[in-house]
Amino acid sequence: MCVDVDARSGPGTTRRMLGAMPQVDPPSNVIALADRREDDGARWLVAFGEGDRDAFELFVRRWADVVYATITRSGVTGADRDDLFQEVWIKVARAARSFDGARAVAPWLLTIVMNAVRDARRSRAAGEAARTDALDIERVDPAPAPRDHVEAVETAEWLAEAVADLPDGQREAVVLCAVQGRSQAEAAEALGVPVNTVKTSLRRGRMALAQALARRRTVAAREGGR
Amino acid sequence: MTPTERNRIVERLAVEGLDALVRDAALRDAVRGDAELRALVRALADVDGRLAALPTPPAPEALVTRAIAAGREVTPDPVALETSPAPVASAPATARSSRWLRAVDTVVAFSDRMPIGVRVVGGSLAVGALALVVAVPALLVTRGGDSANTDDMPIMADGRFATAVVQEEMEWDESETAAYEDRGEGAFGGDGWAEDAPAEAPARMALGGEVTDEMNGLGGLGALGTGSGGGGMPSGSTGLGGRGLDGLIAGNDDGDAFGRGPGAMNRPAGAPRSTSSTTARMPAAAPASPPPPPADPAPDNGYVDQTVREGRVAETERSRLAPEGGRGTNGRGRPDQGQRQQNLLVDDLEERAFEGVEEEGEMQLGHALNSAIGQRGALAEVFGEGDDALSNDFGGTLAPGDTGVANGDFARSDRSSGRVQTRTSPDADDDGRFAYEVGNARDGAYRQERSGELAQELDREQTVATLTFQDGQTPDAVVDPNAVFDIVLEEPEEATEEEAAPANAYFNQRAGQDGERLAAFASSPDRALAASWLAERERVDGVETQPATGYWRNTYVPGDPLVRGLQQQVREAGGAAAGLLDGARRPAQPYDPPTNAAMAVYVHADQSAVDGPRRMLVEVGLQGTERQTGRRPAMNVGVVLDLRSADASDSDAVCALMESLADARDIGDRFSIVVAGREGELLVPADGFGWGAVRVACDRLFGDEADLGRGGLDLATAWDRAFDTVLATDDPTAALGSSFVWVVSPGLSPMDTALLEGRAHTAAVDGVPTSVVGLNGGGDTALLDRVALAGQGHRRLVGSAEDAEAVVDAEITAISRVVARAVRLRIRLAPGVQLVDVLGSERLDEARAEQVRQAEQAIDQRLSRNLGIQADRGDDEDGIQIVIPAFMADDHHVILLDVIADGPGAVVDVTARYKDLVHLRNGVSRAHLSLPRGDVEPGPLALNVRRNLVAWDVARALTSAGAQMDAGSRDAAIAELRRAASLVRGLRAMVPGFATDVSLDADLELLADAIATTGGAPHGDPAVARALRAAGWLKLFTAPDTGDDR
Repeated sequence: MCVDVDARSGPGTTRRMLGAMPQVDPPSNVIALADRREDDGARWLVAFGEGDRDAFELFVRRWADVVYATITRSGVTGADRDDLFQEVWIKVARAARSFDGARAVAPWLLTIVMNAVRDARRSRAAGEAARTDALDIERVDPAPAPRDHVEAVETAEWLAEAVADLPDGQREAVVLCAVQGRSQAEAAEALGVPVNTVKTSLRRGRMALAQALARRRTVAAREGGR
Repeated sequence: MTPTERNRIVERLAVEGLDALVRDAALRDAVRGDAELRALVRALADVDGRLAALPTPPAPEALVTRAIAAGREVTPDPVALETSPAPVASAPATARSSRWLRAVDTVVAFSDRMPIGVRVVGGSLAVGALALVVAVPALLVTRGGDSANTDDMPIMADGRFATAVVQEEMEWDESETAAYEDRGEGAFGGDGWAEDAPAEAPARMALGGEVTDEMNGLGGLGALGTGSGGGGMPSGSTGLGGRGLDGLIAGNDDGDAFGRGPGAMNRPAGAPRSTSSTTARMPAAAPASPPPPPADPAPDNGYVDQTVREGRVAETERSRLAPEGGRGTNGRGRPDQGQRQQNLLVDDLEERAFEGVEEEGEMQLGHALNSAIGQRGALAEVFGEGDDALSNDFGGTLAPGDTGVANGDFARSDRSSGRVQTRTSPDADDDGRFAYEVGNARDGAYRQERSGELAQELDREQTVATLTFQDGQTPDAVVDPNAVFDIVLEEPEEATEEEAAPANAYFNQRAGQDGERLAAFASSPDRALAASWLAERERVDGVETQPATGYWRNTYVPGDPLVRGLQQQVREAGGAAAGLLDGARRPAQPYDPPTNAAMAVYVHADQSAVDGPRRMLVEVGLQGTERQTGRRPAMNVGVVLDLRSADASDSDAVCALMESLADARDIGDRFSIVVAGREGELLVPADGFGWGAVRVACDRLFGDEADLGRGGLDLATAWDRAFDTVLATDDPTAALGSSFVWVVSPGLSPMDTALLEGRAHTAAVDGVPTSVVGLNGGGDTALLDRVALAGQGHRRLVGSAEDAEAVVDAEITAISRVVARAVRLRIRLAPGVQLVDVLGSERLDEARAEQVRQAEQAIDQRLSRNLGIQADRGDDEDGIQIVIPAFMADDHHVILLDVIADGPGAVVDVTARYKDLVHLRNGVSRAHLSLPRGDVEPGPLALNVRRNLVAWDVARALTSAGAQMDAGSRDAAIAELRRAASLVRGLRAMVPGFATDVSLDADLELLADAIATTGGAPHGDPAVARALRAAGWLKLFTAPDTGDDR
């Protein structure tokens, strides 16, 4: 959940709450927290821009999971995701000198990622990929599971598809704020739009998802009762 | 809760999520009391939890390795040494403003990043090449690819162009930062003020009193994350626990109940309430975002030293705030950096020691303090000569240097219980000072009890060191504390018999003990003004009366003012003024919504009995049922975009409105857009309406190539075009209101209004209402109201793009919220009762009365055709007739009549006939009022009538002050507000029953804020003027009668 720009400056309470939830996989929101609290690798990027080739590896390893997750949650999957992942890092390498070492890495990097995702989604291949191969969740834990866990996995799968199917602006805001836990200001910076636009998109996206999830539950309950 | 309030809460929850619940106790209360909101919170929490818990597959190692290998081969583009955002701390003095100098910088920096060999070669070349001066621009071209304006065109990180330089305003001198921090260290270190407290943090956060509450509150949230249930999720998995969520919603303000739950992140037993907890509770200013520019540490900043002595606050000399901490400044000498508080400081404590307090003086001091802190949320810090005396009373030894705030419990205590919460505990107070805090104490009984307690506690040598308002409404604006103190602190004097007489006569009883006690807080001028006001209300002789017949202007304009949007818009424009809109609330009315009818009518008077001829107020109340009429039908809407005076700042809101329309479009809807003031006329036809067309239209209107403000239709012609479009496809058998014209404008001129009024009326008679949306406050809302009234539509305001969706939804679905149409209100005064006035309304001339008849009959006929509700209109009736085209579900409206009755007996008979859209029938609601003979104390309903009158006066003062500000006369605006505040103070002191009235407290608070805000604004500040007018409107939800030209 995004924190308001005014209340920014650190993780909000919901963020802490969510961060406290036990996770099987590295939760993306925790990653978001980590990249605010810890070294965000700016110096490696600057060093690479100044010619230190080894620094690039350190930087990529620092942010690879975030980039990969952002691409995945944006609905680009399969081979397109892998291609896009490569493409993003090449763009990062090319633009390294445009990075100002005094600023945070995340918005700068996410600007590149989100622009790349937009371009990719515009293509038919990316759009199809988003619909046909939305999630790798089942590959994460294919083992037999209790009913609740199956329901949770199915819901997560459905939710990831629902996120990917949101209109562009809403999807981007939801991915950056609600999934990754970035502040609205960060999201606005990354997306190059005013904070209010992010708020609007986030509101619409969250309401749409909440309503859709509630409908899904209702249908499931009805079917379960038959 | 009204639908408007619910929508507002829904929006807030959707944007802020559960953080909003944690921060706002009032919001929690609202959610607790509303099943739908609770369901929404659960749904949002469910989504949030699941989104945040979506598995994040790590990037495959092979992929990472490949990316690293590919990236290492890439040579970074030698671009944009200036294209990334400017350094935060770059000094303006050294900034290269010249294109040439920047070009040189570019070359130098470029060469710095080149291998040494390249640099050597480059340097050699440069020796003989002053022609580089010519070539440098060419180098610059490489930055942007466009030689035209590349100086101001930074490249985004991925090589794209951005269109504006946005970092300049963030530049500031790091040396200032250092000085700021140094000062902060001295000023805050000893006092426990977290230096990294957020600029926007509420005052209490900084004071530390609420820290543990919030930590416990976090416990509740922690429970959310780990509880079981919540839709069948396994315990410990990603679901949001039902118990935890219920704990959040159902818990009371006590942090324990709020915070305890399975897995709660409670503070470990025995753990101190430490600074680290404070830090965790109050997210520090983000390292990535620079602190706000520091204010001059020792400016003549308007703060005035004050001390409470012998029951009054005396202004001492202006002093400069000491930069260092210590007792003198209580460690709070930091100029306001946005903490939203005012510190009124004493730095020479010895001189201000309050000696020899006698019993009377004790009470006076207590009362004065209470008066100060009871009317606005405030913290008054009082300390004595020595800690010994204090420690005996409160336990523990007080150490120097503490915040002085009692433990965290009292911040969340139930103030309505009247329990005094002024404990100071050793772990919370180290500086030997007691802190007395009354938050936003609105309960009169509590304040009185508090007053007595304070007086007793002050029975020793003590001084008020700090008085800190916690109003949360005055961020970094320059505030005139004198103006505020004029409101909240007055020298107590005894009321004279003469001054009290009119009040006693008017209200048929003597002031009770409470009234006398509180009367001491009002100054003579207050009481004199109140006495004069009351005498005027009593006056019978020489009062001009008028016939209580004919058609009178309707004052009910349904619509949603969208307070939050206005706040944002006002805040963006002016800052502190936005706070005014928080306090401007329509008084609650004691009307029960009917369950078996669409609406009901109520009549009350401000008297419970009379002995003889008497002037009185009669209140006619209308209340709509809570039921709505179902799903909306297909809509046929012609939108008129008035862009004649719109500029780029309106583009977001306009485009958001159009996009929201596209979002809201349903099967069968026909929307079209006509633009005034721009070329294009029929911007989006109904047949082509859709997302793409709207986006293209927005680009045309506001894109780079837009030809702003050139040509196009005038507003009246654009309205005609929209109306024709709507009428061409109007289905006369469709529900009334499903076809309408929607005027979207940043503001109408009187000429526009005159042109549109007639058209809107004609269209309304034809079954096509006209509604109005004001952009960015909408200018003069009274003009918008006139069009909406004539068009039988609604008036709404959009403060920002964020409001667009709500406004569109409200407008599109308004038809399903209309529960009554063609409401004909007939008010017949009994024989012997004379009409002085109908407040806010006026008797219509014959031409306008005819318009009302036509409109009423048109609705009547159409509903008869479409819904089978028998037509029954067409005849005039005796008495005052007011026709309201539509009345909304769960809404209410108050009409106040000023009358003179010749004695006991019947006063008034009211009949409301309406088209009941809930039950599809003709509905009638009747009420009458008759007063017995006698000397009976006014009851609660009578008090409510008086309260409505005061609210009317307050609203009129705010509106009038807004007009004064618009005219550039700040002093006149302040004078108007002070007059209103003085009147409320005087009335509260003199009128029994008002002494403990919470709505009057709120009015005083609102007026105090208005005075402070206006006093701190420049003459004619449009944001403040707009906020004042909006606050006046919000106070009543209708335009108070300000003697306009109608």
